[in-house]
Amino acid sequence: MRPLKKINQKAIAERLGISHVSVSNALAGRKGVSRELRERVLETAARMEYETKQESGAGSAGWSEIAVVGARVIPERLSARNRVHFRYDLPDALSGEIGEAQLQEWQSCIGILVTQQVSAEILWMLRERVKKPMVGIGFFVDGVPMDFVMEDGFHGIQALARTLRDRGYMRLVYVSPEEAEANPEERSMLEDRLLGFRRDQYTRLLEKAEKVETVPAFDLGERDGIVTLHRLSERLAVWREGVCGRQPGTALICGDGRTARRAARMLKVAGIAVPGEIGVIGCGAEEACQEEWKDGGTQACREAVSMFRADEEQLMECAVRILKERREGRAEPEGLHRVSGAIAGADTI
Amino acid sequence: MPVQNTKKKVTMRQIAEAVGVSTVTVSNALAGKAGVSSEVRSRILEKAARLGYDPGEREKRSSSKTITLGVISSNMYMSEKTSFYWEMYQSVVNACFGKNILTMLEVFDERKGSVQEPTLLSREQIDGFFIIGRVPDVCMRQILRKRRGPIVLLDFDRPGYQCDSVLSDNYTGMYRATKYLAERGHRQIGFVGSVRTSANVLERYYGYWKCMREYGITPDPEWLLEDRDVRTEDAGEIRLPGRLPSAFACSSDYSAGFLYNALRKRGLRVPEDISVIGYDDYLYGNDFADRLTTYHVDFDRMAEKAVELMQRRIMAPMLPHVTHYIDSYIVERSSVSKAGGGAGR
Repeated sequence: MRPLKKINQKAIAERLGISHVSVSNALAGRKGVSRELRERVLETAARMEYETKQESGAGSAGWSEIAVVGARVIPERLSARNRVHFRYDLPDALSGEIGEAQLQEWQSCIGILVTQQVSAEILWMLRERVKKPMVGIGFFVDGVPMDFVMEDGFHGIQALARTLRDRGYMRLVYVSPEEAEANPEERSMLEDRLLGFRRDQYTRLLEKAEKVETVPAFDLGERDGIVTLHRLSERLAVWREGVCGRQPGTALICGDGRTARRAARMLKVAGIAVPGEIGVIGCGAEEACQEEWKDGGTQACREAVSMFRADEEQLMECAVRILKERREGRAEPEGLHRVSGAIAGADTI
Repeated sequence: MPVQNTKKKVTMRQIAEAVGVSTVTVSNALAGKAGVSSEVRSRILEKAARLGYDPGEREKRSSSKTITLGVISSNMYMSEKTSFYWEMYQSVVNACFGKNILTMLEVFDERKGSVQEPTLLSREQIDGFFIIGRVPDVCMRQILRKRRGPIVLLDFDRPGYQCDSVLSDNYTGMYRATKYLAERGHRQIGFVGSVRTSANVLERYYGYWKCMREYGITPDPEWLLEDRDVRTEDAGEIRLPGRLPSAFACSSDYSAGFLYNALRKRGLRVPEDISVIGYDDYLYGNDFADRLTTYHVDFDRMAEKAVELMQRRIMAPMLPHVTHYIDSYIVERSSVSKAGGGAGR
């Protein structure tokens, strides 16, 4: 058996009320120690090692525990890579109260990952009662002292616009999703994308040193290169003449996956080549969507489109890293962490 | 409890396994050495970025070689009157402490007719540059052309240029600040800042805008006030319109100070008559400073992050460039009251 360090032996000795020489002899299996004493020493040694591990929350061989609240499951790879056990079995925090006994179970974790949108009240409750660092993934609630990791919608769109211009798309149009369909959680992100696009346009105006109004006007209309899907369908025929004939590369940046699929479908039906004549890219996750036909029927819209988004695994990786840094005591002030996106998927752009 | 910090080795091996190459190849790719095809290199870099590759702490500390970093700033931002960037420089020096890093500061003269090239550029032994605050494009291009090591920008960014940046989260910060006002019942909220002169101010404007839209408020254009780049001019005169909102969101504490002066001149009190919130948590030379509620900018954390990015890039020059935004919190003082205390006079 691996000899324990002297200081641990001293602790065992103190615990048992014997000399540390006896402990040393017992552990080394030397003569002069009764079997009974040796057994007590070994038992105490095993228990103390166990206790040390519990205190530091390290589990076995340097692994940590992180509690997961919410429906999403963290991929296995993240667990191995970061030496973290994810616990999904803790008392259901979303239902409300957590009892005293249940609180104990949370104590061995280094922190909590919240993987779905949850109200501020519940977040506060968790914070107050469990008193562990918390990270929300994929959403943001102002006013709660915790970290959030989100895709950077605002800067992401600007980066996307630059990339598209580098690829030769000189005209960018933002297609905003139908208001009614957006989840409340998505609204904030959609807003970020819309404003990010607006900022990109405004910055371009400034660069060209054109005469610009003092500050960007608040009404977001077509002249700013922002249209709705509905408007897009109306103008497609007219547009075709103007755009494809004369202007070089036009790209449609669609606020979400649903809108992107519909836009791609619309272009296909209008006989416009994608990406040959017009490029299409959506933002965020690919979503299923229904498409309405003029005769009132609907069918699933399955157009594959290129998407611009932050990798979900990357968001989770970032969240885990934040919890580990907090545990080590070196971390940024609690707040929002932005993860940049990348283009992925079908070649519609 | 003995801890083996083999983080770097493990991560490199993981990258290698994930891509299907040897760790030597990964090491070469990250260091920009020859012998790696561009296709393999880009796959490795992408994987490294996704896994959040970070040259381990031990690696950073074990190199006994002292790194010398140049710190460049323009005198437009480093004059005696504006010490914001001096403080940031101080944070950089602190962040380098104990890491075997030497820093050399150069404040170059932007006011002269022709922009001089920073003399640090011609020194052989500079391993990388921090640039604090905006510098003219001409100067940026000179630095990019002549430098030998990485460049990390502080408090600004230049998309499309080959460098990392660390900024405060302008967009989220101003959103938080404006929300602070809206939550206290304010619906008539003005904005103070010259969006055309500073990219940071422009971003903050969008943060303000986001909050306004969330509350369904269309701001009155009369209440969008310019502060005329008060960082560089002596007197920051803000022209107040006849009718005033119940609150102002200011794009910097500095302009909040000038707004306060202008309001006082008109006989208005803060926050009894008008509420004011700022951005920076850095105001000096104004007795308003200890009452101003504001969004905190964490210089120390920004500097630490900048140093971290610099070290990372010195070890692995080929990693994709990163712009890092550091979010923070509102510091509550006493410049904001609940709405209903009286709108514009």
